[in-house]
Amino acid sequence: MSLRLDRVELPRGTLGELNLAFDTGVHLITGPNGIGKTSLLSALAGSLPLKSGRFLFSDKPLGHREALVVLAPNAPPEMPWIRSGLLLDFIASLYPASRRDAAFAAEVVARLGIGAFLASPLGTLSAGTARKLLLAATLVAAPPVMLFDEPTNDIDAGSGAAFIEFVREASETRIVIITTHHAGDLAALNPALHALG
Amino acid sequence: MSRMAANYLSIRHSHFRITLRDWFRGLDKALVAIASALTFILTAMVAMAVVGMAQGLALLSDASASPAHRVAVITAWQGISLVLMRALREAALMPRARQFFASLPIPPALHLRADLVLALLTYSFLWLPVAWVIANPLGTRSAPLPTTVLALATLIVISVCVNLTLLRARIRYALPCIAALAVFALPGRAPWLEAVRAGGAIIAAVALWLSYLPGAARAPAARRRSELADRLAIRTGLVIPLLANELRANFMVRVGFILATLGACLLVIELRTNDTSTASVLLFVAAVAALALYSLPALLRRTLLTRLHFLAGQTAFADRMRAAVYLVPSALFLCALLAGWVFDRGGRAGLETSLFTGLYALGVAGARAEIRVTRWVVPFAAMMLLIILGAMT
Repeated sequence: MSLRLDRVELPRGTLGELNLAFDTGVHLITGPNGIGKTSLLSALAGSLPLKSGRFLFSDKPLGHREALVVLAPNAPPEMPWIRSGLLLDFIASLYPASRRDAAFAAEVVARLGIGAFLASPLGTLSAGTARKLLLAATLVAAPPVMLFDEPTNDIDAGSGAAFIEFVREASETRIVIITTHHAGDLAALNPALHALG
Repeated sequence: MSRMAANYLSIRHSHFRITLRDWFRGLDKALVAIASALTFILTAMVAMAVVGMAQGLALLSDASASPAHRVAVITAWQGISLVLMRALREAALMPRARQFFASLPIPPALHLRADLVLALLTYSFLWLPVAWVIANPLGTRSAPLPTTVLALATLIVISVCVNLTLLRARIRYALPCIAALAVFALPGRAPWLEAVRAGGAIIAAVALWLSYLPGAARAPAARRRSELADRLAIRTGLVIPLLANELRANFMVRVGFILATLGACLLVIELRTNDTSTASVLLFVAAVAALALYSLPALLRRTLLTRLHFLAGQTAFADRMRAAVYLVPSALFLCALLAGWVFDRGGRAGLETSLFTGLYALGVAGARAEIRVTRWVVPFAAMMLLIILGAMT
């Protein structure tokens, strides 16, 4: 399983043409603010059209009909009314082929410490709890390519350690790409480093 | 503090102006096109509406008015002003930024002052019949001017209090305001009754003031989870919960316009003394339904794709959303046509249904493709069809 960026040019940021390859395991993308890290993840997730180039998944053009990619964004969606548990279920439901079972979902929820908040509207959660909810949804969806945009910002140390353990387990059979300004926090994952800019 | 006052009020005024400008972008062309093409008909329609509303308001100071008429006028005024303020709530009350501004050291009196000024601006066209009653150009007013002014002022004060407490979800404070409105509806012209009405207005004003003091807001009660509702939400790509929460008021205003049109058509048929055997209810209901609903699918789709941008590329999300985004407004449009058809006596239901269904479909497609002219072409076309088909009746 591999993911390749073939002469990719993003519509935002200051990056030029990108030629990168990711295989199974954890990949950290670092770089200064505004260079295009978040745009790269959005483009991989299919929500930002490319200026030019293409993504290849196992040497075939990456499409989104098979639900191969999931993205945990760096900010919760602007839907303060939605019940947190419903958002988690909804995101996971979009990945029927890869979705992890209920026992794993319960374990993620428990270890990230968000069980008490699943009945609450998203707008009432703290920044850290909302971020953990999106991390949990991504871990439960578990498609072959998992993208995390600055996942360790705002979250407490215990949840951060649990997240690293879940990512380590997921990365054994998946491609995990993480953008971060704090590579040291994720050093335990022995990631491949890709410094942009 | 005076600098703060000037700044806060100017922010609210700017927000009001900019929000309205954004909303009416494109529609201004439709209004200009309709006004220039149909100057005489529109002048007659507006004059008829203003004079009709003024005659209703004049009943409030008329001792011979029946209790039923008095209640009807007050209910209509309150209903229209509430719908108007609800439709313009974002512009007038700035609810999204409210929490942030509440955290700043701005005195409650300033919040109240800004809300009052913008609420009175929002009443906009409702001032025309009020001015007509006071100016009395046709000399038809039966009560002296001070009595009329007092009655109108009391009604306006109480209705502003009801609207501002209800729209800011201060239900505890809205109740005395609604009670004051009920007291105002009591018939008769005795001095003690006038004093009771004035007392009601004062109580409503005090309730409004108290609703602005710190601690007046209450957290909403937690909602119960429903398995069925969750399943429906997931199956529809979150379209149903979006309609039930974020776009609830928007949706209700659209449905309200259609129901009000149907109600008005039936009322006119009931009250008119001339022949109504060929009255075309479907024509008006279909025109309003097409206008009210054609932009809803695009709004639903755009809102969901913006809010859940990180899922926008997922085909499963698009597939689930697509069905509900078009199905809900189209089902509502068909229900409106059906309701109009049931009461229609025009005899051209097939033609009217086809034309307005076509207009609705074109509007949906234009809004989906983000073609800007759709915003003024659809209202203009609906108005023209209404005039032409109406003239054929």
